This record gives sequence, structure tokens and C-alpha cells, in this order.
Amino acid sequence: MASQYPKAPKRNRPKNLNLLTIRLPIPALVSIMHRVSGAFLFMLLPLLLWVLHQSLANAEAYQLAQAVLHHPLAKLICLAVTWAYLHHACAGIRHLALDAHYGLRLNYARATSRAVLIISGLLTLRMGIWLW
Amino acid sequence: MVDRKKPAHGFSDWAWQRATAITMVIYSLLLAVRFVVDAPSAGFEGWHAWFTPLSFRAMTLLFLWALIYHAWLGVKEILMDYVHNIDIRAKLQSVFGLVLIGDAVWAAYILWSLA
Ligand code: HEM
Ligand code: HEM
Repeated sequence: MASQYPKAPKRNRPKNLNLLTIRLPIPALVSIMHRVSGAFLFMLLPLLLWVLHQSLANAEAYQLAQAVLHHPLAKLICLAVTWAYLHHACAGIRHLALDAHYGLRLNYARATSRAVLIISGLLTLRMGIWLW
Repeated sequence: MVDRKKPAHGFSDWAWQRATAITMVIYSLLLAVRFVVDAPSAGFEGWHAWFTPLSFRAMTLLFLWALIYHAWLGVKEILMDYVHNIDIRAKLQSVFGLVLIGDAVWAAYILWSLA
């Protein structure tokens, strides 16, 4: 049904919803990864408790846990957990610094975001080498 | 649930999220140091013995409880942002809350039962 009111003026605002061409600023990337890693750790918590429980209950349970952990898929999950934890921890520490008004200037914010990605990446690599 | 006579409890949630975060950072560093200077010897016996000192078990339990409370605050925050239907949000919060209470009891059981 045609409206009897005059049309709203056509607006030509730029719109960019293409996920492949959006440039996510690096602090935003670190921020969303902090949330995703926190949610991921929450979901995997029962698994970690299971490993802890098995490994400490008795020798047979320990061997079962060890056998499970030797599976490549289990190692991959361990590595994902490790990365999530290290990223979340590094980004969390950065977040606390920002709360205390350290590093708020844009160039610092960018530099510390990059540092979070690099440091947690390197620590994860170190853990991966140890795992394999 | 909200007691309007008191100030909003947003501040203490915020503060607890940070206190638990700092607790976890400290524990993680101590754990890493202990792994380097006092690595557990191989096999179940060594691993079990590594967990025997009461101080270590107490610190580990404190860490796990801090982690669980931190996760509870974080999960509530995330639900608040993405689930706008109050009923669904309340149900999801109850489910996740029960899971986390279960985790907390389980953590205590794990560390206590090996005495
Ligand atoms: C609460 C968390 C965890 C507990 C209680 C736990 C416990 C254990 C135990 C008891 C073992 C056997 C140790 C031995 O061989 O002497 C083990 C091995 C292993 N852990 Fe964990 N772990 C946990 C988290 C992780 C994480 C985050 C990773 C990833 C880095 C990981 C990766 C592994 C792997 C791959 C093995 C097998 C090592 C091998 O091939 O000998 N675990 N874990
Ligand atoms: C050394 C360890 C950790 C540190 C330093 C840390 C730090 C933080 C900080 C500062 C926040 C607040 C962010 C904000 O207010 O927007 C936060 C949020 C959160 N944390 Fe952690 N955390 C740690 C470990 C964990 C673990 C192990 C889990 C999961 C089991 C977790 C789950 C969460 C969740 C779900 C949020 C909410 C995320 C959001 O609102 O975007 N954290 N963390």
C-alpha cells in the first residue's frame, strides 16, 4: 500500500557489513577474543576437572587419563585450552591496566593489544612444543 | 532479586571479577615457578605426592573457587548482553549457576579426597 506521506529523504550513508572487508581494529580483536576465550574456558571447565580428578584418584585412573591425553585430538584440545587461558589472562591483565588508567592512549592501546597477541601466541607455542 | 534499598550490586561484581582475576594470575605464576624448580617426578606416585602438601591443595582450591566465581560473573555479563528475554535469561543463569556450583563442590572433593 503506497504511503500518503512524503518519502523520507534517501540517505546515502556508507554501509559496510561485509565481514571480509571490515577492518577490525586490533584492540577490538583482542577484546572480542577475550570474551570468546572466557566463554570457551567456562565450557571446558568440567573437562579439566575430569582430568584432574582422574589423574589424582588412583594409579589406574591416572593411566586412563594419560592414555586419553596421548590422543592427538586430546592434545589439540589441550592446546586450544592453553591458548584460550593465556590469551584471556594476558588480555585480562591488559584490561586491569586500562581500568587503572594505564595505557589509554591510542598508540599504547594498539601496542599492548599486539603485545597480548604475540606474548600469548609465543607462550602457547612453547606449551605446544612441550606437548608434542 | 534486586534490592532497591541498597546501591546496585554492579560495583561489587566488578570488584570481585578483578579480585578473582588477580588471584588467578598469582596462582598461575606460582604454579609455573613450582613446575620449573620442583617438577613432579614421573608417574602417578610423583604426581600424587606433588599434590600432597596441604598448602598446595589449599592454594589450588582457592584458585579453582576464584576461577569458578569469576566464570559465574563473566557468564552473567555475557548473558546480560546477548539474551534480552528475561525469562530465558533467568533460566540460562540458573542452569549455568547450578553447573558452576557442581564444579565448586567437585573441585573440593577432588582435592580433599586424596588426603
Ligand atoms: C586442570 C588442568 C589439568 C590437569 C589436572 C592435568 C593433568 C595431567 C596429568 C596428571 C597428566 C599426566 C602427567 C604425566 O604424564 O606424568 C597430564 C598429561 C598431559 N597434559 Fe595435562 N592437565 C591439565 C591441563 C592440561 C592442559 C591445559 C594441557 C595443555 C597444555 C594439558 C596437556 C597434557 C598432555 C598433552 C598430556 C600428556 C603428556 C604426555 O604425552 O606425556 N593438560 N595432564
Ligand atoms: C589469569 C586468569 C584470568 C584473568 C586475569 C582474567 C581477567 C578477566 C577480566 C579483567 C575480566 C573483565 C572484563 C570486563 O570487565 O569486560 C574477565 C572477564 C571474563 N572472564 Fe576472565 N580472567 C581470567 C581467567 C578466566 C577463566 C579461567 C575463565 C573461565 C572459566 C574466565 C572467564 C571470563 C568470562 C566469561 C568473562 C566475561 C567476558 C566478557 O564480559 O566479555 N576468566 N576476565
